[in-house]
Amino acid sequence: MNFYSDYHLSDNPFPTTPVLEPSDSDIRINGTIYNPEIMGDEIGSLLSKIRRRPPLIYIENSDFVRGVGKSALIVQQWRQLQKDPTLTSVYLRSEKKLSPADFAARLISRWHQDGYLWTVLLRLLGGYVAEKPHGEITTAGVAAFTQAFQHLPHRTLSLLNFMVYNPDRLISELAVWVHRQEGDSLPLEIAHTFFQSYLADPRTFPEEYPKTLRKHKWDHITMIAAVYRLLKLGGYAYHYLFFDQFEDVVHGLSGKSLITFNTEMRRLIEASIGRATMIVSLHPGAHATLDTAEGGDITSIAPLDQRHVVSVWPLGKDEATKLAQTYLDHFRLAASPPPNTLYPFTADAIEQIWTTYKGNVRACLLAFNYAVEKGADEGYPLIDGDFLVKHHADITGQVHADEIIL
Amino acid sequence: MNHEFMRIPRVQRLEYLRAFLTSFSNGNLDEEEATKAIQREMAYFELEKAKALGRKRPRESKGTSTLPECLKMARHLALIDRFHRLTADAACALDPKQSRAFLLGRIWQCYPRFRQLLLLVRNSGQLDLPFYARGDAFRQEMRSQDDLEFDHLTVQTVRDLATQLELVNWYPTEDRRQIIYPVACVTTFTEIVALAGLPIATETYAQQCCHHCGLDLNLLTIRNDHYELSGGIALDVQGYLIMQTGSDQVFVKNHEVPLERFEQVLWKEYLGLSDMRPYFPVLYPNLRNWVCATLRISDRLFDRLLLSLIREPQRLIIYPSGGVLNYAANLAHLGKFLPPKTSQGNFIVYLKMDRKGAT
Repeated sequence: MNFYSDYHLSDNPFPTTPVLEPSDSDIRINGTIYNPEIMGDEIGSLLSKIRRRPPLIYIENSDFVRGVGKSALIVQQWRQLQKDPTLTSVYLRSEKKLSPADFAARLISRWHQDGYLWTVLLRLLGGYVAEKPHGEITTAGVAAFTQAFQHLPHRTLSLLNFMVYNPDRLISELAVWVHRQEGDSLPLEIAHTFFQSYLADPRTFPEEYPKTLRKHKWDHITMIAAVYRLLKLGGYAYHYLFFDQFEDVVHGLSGKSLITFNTEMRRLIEASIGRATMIVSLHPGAHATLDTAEGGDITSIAPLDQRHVVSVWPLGKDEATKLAQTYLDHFRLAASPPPNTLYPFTADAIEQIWTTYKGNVRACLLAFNYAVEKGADEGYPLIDGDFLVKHHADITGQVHADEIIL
Repeated sequence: MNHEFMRIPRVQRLEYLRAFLTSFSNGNLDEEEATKAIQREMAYFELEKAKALGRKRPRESKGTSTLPECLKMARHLALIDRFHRLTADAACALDPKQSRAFLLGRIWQCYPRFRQLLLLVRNSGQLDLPFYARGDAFRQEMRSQDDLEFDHLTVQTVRDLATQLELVNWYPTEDRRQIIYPVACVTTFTEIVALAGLPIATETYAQQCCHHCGLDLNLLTIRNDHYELSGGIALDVQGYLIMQTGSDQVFVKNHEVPLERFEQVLWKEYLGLSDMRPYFPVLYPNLRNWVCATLRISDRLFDRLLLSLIREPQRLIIYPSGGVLNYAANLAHLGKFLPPKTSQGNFIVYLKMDRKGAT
């Protein structure tokens, strides 16, 4: 049953809880709703930095208020970059107490789960057989294998079906072949582990490679450096790594723990130079943490300056209108065109909400949601300035300026 | 009682002086008993602070340095004689009905720095001073105010005494400064008489004080927009405290505020702190600081008016609730920010409010 058809909508277009959750199917919160005209300056600044490929880009809110749209900017650009087949674009939500090595582990896991590493395997098999057509696997065998497993298989594989009679030799030859191309940056043992698990049972890769790391006293940062090489051999030349809520990791660190974090982060950045750009969100408190003497390891590589920082500002009035309109457009009923694109809102109502919340995206979206709900409760009237004044407390949770006088 | 003293003894709270005086046995000083009495008072106060902060263990204070300071102040104010025996005046200092007027008169007379600072606060409307500056940095700021030579301890002592006597109030700001403002109209007979023949002036706060006091007490009349001396002082004018200090007289009148105006300012400041959200908890001391500064009233008057609004709501419904104050280890002035207690003995740490019939 559609409660919003009187408003020419299929549902309330605005999120009840305006947080970003890219894995959710709800387009209101997964960052799919995108209009490049909203936060145009910020998008322009980020794209310009993305083009230059510095090791680190900071996305920072302009004041101490949360909800100005850092995460939205990150998720939308992450989605946009995913469209380029020559690179990978990975989104990670940071959590408190994550170390840079943990970030590396999660990135490897994401490349594995999202099938990038599987694609790499298929492309490497193709390259190998082109160079050695009379090796342990034939051209026909590779073609059949590629045909059978276009996507990451979640099961045990039998290479015998593809005329591979000595899988161990094939694995060794592949490992030596890639190691020769990339040298010591792609250790033979890691290459061997990769082919061994991917050609026997790809599901085991996340558990198998840490064993190799432990055996050789390597960590996940060494591993990610090797994976960068594998990805490059497989056709993914560059990577954009989005760390949302990075401030939660940095904020509160001080003294020894900050120094340890920064030293490790510096290693991760150095391993990524020329191969990946990390885009991290920061709020002013975390900015201050990184701006200390202990934060020098990171900021010496990527200073907190205009070349590395994208400042996110609250929405302008026109942007708030476009924001409302973009969400409304996604929930319009095809068979029931509205009287105007902003309906049931008036421009005046949008402006009032924008003024009340000083352009804070999260607060505006929430107020739009409440306004539509209140409108539905009240019999679907036009949501204009008078409506907002009448139901100000219900919609904004705040007292209207006129009600300060008792 | 003609002596004046440049250094004001560092008695932070008048309760310590009262405890010191009540410890006298048969009118004679017993130092051990006096120390214990002051320590008891301090321990009680620290316990209250610990309760408000949610700390299990109150801070321990020996109070040994307070005893000599109380002794000095009692001597200065002629509450004890040179043989350390109570004088007849001590009874006035201990009588709750007379205590404020009596101590105010004596302190005003004995300590020129006390009256200088109070008149400076009155003349400038408010004093904006650094909260943590010490030594030369502080002295330099004071010199820039009115060319006065004050160290931070003197200012702090005068501020705390005057706050307890409900002459000034103050609050710390976010940029590590403090604003001291008057909560009572203070004028002297000499100042009012000096207005005779001058045109009416009510532009500054100090001028308003003299103007209203002169007219209220019938010391001045107005003719052709000029002040003229009147026949004689009207001693029975309500609300004025009149103190004889040597050859001069000091007139003190507390700022008064109608309940309706108090309620309006309370609501406005509450919305400011709660970001316009009704029924949103705000810290009691924060709200009190803002309302008192706007209305220029003492914390005690705020507490009294607020509690009356809780008991008998007018246009607002006020919900007091418990909690724990923000812990600030260096906030030695927490005593000033303690909220009042409910009848069950719990601190009212948060206030929530909304308009009557709004929901």
